[in-house]
Amino acid sequence: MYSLSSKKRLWYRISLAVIFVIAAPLLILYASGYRLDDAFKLASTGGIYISAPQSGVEIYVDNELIRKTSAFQKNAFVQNLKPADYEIRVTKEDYQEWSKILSVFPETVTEAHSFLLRKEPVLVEVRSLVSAETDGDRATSTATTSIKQIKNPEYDIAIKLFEPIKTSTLKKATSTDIEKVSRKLSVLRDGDILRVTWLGNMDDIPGYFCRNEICKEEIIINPNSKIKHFDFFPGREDLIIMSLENGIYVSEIDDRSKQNVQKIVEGGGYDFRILEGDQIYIKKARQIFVLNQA
Amino acid sequence: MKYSDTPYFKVGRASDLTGSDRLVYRLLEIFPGFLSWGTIIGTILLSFFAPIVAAYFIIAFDLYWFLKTIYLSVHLRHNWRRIRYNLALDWQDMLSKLKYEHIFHLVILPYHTESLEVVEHSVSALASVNYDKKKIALVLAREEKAGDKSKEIAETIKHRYGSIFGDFLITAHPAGLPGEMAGKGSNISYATEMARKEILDKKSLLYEDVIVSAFDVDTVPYKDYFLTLTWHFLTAPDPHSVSFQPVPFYNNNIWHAPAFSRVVAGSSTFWQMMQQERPEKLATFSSHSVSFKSLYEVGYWQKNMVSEDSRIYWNLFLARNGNYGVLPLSYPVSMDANLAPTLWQTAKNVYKQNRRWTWGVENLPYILFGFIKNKKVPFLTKLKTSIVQIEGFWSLATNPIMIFLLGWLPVVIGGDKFNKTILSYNLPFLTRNIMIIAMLGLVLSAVIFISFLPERPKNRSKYAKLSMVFQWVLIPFTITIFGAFPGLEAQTRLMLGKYMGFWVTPKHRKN
Repeated sequence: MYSLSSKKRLWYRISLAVIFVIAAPLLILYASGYRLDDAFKLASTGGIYISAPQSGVEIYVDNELIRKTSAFQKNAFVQNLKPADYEIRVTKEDYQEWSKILSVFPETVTEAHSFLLRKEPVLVEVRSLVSAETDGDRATSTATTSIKQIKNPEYDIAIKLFEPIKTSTLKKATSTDIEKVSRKLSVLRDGDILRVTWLGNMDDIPGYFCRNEICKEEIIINPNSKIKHFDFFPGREDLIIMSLENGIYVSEIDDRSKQNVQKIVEGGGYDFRILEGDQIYIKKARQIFVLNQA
Repeated sequence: MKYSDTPYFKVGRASDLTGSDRLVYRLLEIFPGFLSWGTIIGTILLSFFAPIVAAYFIIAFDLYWFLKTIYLSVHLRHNWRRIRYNLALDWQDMLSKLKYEHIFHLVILPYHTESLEVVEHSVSALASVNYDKKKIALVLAREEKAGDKSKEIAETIKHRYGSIFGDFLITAHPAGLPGEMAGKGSNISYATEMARKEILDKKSLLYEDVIVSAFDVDTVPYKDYFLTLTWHFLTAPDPHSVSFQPVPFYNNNIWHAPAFSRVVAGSSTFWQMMQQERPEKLATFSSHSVSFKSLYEVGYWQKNMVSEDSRIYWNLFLARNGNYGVLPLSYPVSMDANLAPTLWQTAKNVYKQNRRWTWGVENLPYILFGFIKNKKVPFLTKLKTSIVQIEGFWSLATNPIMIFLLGWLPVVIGGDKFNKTILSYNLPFLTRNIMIIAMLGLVLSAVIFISFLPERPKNRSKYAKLSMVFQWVLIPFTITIFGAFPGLEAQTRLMLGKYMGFWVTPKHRKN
């Protein structure tokens, strides 16, 4: 039996080289978003990437269900979209709906990060006193237990969060005196609006500041109400939690279409504080609650 | 002046030369490492500064690699069929049609500290090959510095097998001879010269009728190896212008070697099988055979470097002005897969063995320097050979790293602007999918590997065969960790002038 003939090998080489020459540009064009349109012309398309914070969330693009998220896949990437505006809807039973109209541009992925808050919040009260079992008289042969009311240290910590900041720790007081900075975003209160600006490199600016490649410097959040307190929503730099006169709300910074605003609690007299960038404590009068975000 | 008479014919490294020759040779030593590191660093820089260009390059490179995999698989499959055909062929009958009684075989079996069990396994296999053993001279080439134990092994072997062979010679290579590096090359060269004086000349054998087989000590030739070799020697247009290369199977202890070691061993066999179908890319490797006449002309194997097995081919290639080749036998010899008492030690040995093999890059400056100096090698031969050799060492050290590690780099370091493009989203998927499709070729690897397995030892579970199939998923790791990394280390050492010595792979057998 002979070895592979040089003629056969040459034929293989030429065939594979031809495949390479044809396939390489096609693959690059495909990867860059180019597709054949209805008229068999090469057209540039774009894509949308939506992230969802939970599993079991349904993501719709123009009312077409694209994905139901799972524990392992909490986002959806849709490509082959002609440049146009698309309505995105993200829903889950018992949660408030998130929707947005996003523009798709050629060769670009338009990203958006949805958020879903419960329609009815789960508030767990933090009591000032808690019951504790204590052992009885150990000296006696019969062990007894008694229940005592003791001070709840969590309540003390939480209540301190709501104490007014001492004057000495305040920065210079101006109309835009309160500032929240999270890494590269700054949020300034200017009267009853919040001004969000990007502090970082313009190459790294979040997509919601931009339409295609044109980016703005500032986004305004206007809740149409007096803002008593605000902060970044725990774990998210694109969401602002605000206590307003009529409740506590979360607004996204993204204003590419109408900003999604979802309520946490509705009604007057609520305020909130965030402990260690994680737990949301809500206060009404002397009552303190912790928001269960699960 | 013949090229083989020049002072640089047997150069081992740049420091063996003087003046401008030394500088040129040193630059050529730097070249392969520079090229490989340049590629890797270049890809990283491109991913950072021009991620879109880097992504285009990676997609094109992935496709090239995929098509190359198909191309090589075609060669592998053909060689698989050829080996099976050759294994089934009646070589005695084939040879009986030729006049071959005048052919004499000189088998050199060098060893250092290997055990009696290892040496005896090979010698007993030699003693039972289908060939007139009186036409075979066995030379047990021991190292003098290995001491009495090594001497005892040689005497025991001689006592048990000495009478079977036409001649049996024990040689003891003295340590520290001037101009030598401790290693296989100096030992087998010494042994071959001793065999010339003690056997060939005393028997008045014609040098052109003698075939030398330089075997590693764990080499177990398949039954018809010498019949096959003799037939090819006698039917080759010019048997003195070719070396004869068998296919190394690492089957001796394959059932006891761990999965990663089996995959590395199997990959090495597959590579040699593919090369057997592309003889223009083949150089002698490990155990090989060559006419004594050719060997004698160039003064045997080089004694001052590590990769003597492939260097002898390049010595002869340059001495014959490019008119020298390798004749693939497509017939196997069996050797040991790496196996040590512990898994970690096995892993270290696999790495070190591959580093020694990839230290074959020391041949690249030798070849290129030879092409500069030897004007009688045709230009086209120089060009083709240079491209093949440079591409070979470059791809060995860089391709797995680029495919398995750098494919996602633009997404990681390309910046937010790049990460907003469709290209950045598609790059990982495309790379992954091309790899998955390419990995389907591993089914072929598993089938071929299993078809050559020796009988399962009784102490191995029948499920062990299953692991021989699933082990191939380790390929991305083994070709990176035990292929590219040692290859890159070898090239870096050569680039920095940190020359390697000869590392003897420990041979360990489990019962």
